[in-house]
Amino acid sequence: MRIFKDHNKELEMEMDLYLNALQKGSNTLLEGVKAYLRGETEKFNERIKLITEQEKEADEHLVNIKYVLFRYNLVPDLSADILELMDAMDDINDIAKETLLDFQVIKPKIVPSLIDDFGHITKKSNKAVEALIKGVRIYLTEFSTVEDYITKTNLFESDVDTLQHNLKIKIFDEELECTLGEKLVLNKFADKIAGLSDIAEMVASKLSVFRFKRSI
Amino acid sequence: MEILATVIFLSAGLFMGWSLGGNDAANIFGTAVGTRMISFRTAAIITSVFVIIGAVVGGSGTSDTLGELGAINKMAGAFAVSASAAFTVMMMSKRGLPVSTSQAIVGAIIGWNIFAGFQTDTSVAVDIAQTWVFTPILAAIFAIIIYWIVKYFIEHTKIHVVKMDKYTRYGLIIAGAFGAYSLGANNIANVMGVFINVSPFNDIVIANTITFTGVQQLFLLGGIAIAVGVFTYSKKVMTTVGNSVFKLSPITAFVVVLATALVLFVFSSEGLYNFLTSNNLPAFPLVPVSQSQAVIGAIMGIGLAKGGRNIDLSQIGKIGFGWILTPLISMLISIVALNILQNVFLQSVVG
Repeated sequence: MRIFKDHNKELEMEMDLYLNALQKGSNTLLEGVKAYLRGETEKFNERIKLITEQEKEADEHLVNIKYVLFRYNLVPDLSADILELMDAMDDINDIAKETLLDFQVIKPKIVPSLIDDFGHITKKSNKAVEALIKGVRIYLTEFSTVEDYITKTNLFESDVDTLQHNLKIKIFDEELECTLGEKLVLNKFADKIAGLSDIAEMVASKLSVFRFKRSI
Repeated sequence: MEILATVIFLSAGLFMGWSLGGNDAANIFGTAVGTRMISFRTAAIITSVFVIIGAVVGGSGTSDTLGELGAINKMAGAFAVSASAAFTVMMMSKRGLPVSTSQAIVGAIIGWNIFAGFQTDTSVAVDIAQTWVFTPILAAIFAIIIYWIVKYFIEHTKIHVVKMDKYTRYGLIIAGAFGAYSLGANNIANVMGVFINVSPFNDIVIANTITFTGVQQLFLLGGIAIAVGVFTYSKKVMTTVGNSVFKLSPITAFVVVLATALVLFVFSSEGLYNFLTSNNLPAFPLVPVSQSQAVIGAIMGIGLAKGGRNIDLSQIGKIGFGWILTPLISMLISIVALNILQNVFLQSVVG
């Protein structure tokens, strides 16, 4: 009896699964980068496979969310906000997958003195995404405390900016034994990883507006 | 020929009903329809059904009060009074002035009293005027209380946004049905109240048990006129209310509709009146009040509950202006109309 299906529940479930897929994608990026930095090729390749699946999974859930929203017109007043939020978050897995694939294709030479820096920046970016996803979950259920998570996301993003700047100084240090081409590649990877936290910050500012719109 | 005359004379009341359905009923589901929480069709059906129930079941209290103010005893006189009030509402609305059918009908009845040479019961008139002043204030108080309860509920329960939307939709439907019932019970007096003493309908007894009184039949007719107004004219008004005039979120719209419905209910419920008076408590007088002014009061109440920002004080001035101007203009038009009907059309307007 399809007509008796609770589409509200279906939508809630799809949003939950979508957020899970995004969180998993960000975690996989962290593990993938760690594996690459440690030279664990097999583990790294597993992460590439995993993130491709997770990105596909997230896309499928996003399509389902849109379908349920449009087909059943469940939340007319909120649907635009929910769609905008979910759409904006889709970039998280796109960037995560793209970054890992670039590592696989370009194989940047990370000199030992920069390994920890790349590790830290990836970890902080992941933290920013984690705080954002928690914030989105809170927005969906208990929106009065969502501001705490928005602040956390912004703090992590700010940390990433600092780490990124310091990393760039190290990359372009004259004493670093790398060619300019290699340095430019490293710089690009620093930007890519930091880009994840930039997306988190951008979505967090949207969330702040949507939270304001929901308060009565 | 007599039937034709009755239909013509009742047409003024039916027009009032149609106008009420087109404009005031839109305040009930305006935001819900404007924000697409509820379809117009659903809103129109709920409004029509509950307005008719309210009018037939609970409409006698406010009508009796109008009867105490002036017992119009000729069909032509009732027509003149009703038509004058309708004309006043139409004229003032066109000029963008705040207007209430309740205030217009009271002015027109007083006009009939003056024309007929009857003394207006000042205690009833004062009671009615006090109620008008109290209406937006009470609506604001109700809105503040409901707002706080809803706010507490939202902030202290972890309800998913999707479920919250579903509950808001149900809340809007229930509050809307209650609002429509209260509107029917309170404002049917404006539509058909002046025709009570000259009602052309006789009581109908169904299966020797249920009596469908002539007054109830009159109110049913008025209720149907309101329903026709809802279906034929309110869609545009609802969309305007939902999208431009008062930009309310669905949840604040729920607060406004519920607060307004409560105000109209307390000023029309005979059950509540009897309960309070039998317990020696001060009771709310049964008086037709302005739904639009209750809405403005409720919106201001929410503004106050939010900390007093964005309160349009000019609205208060406009309401006060309407309390004096509307009955005054309606009274003058009523006297002129009664004169014309009696002296030009040779109709008996006073028994």
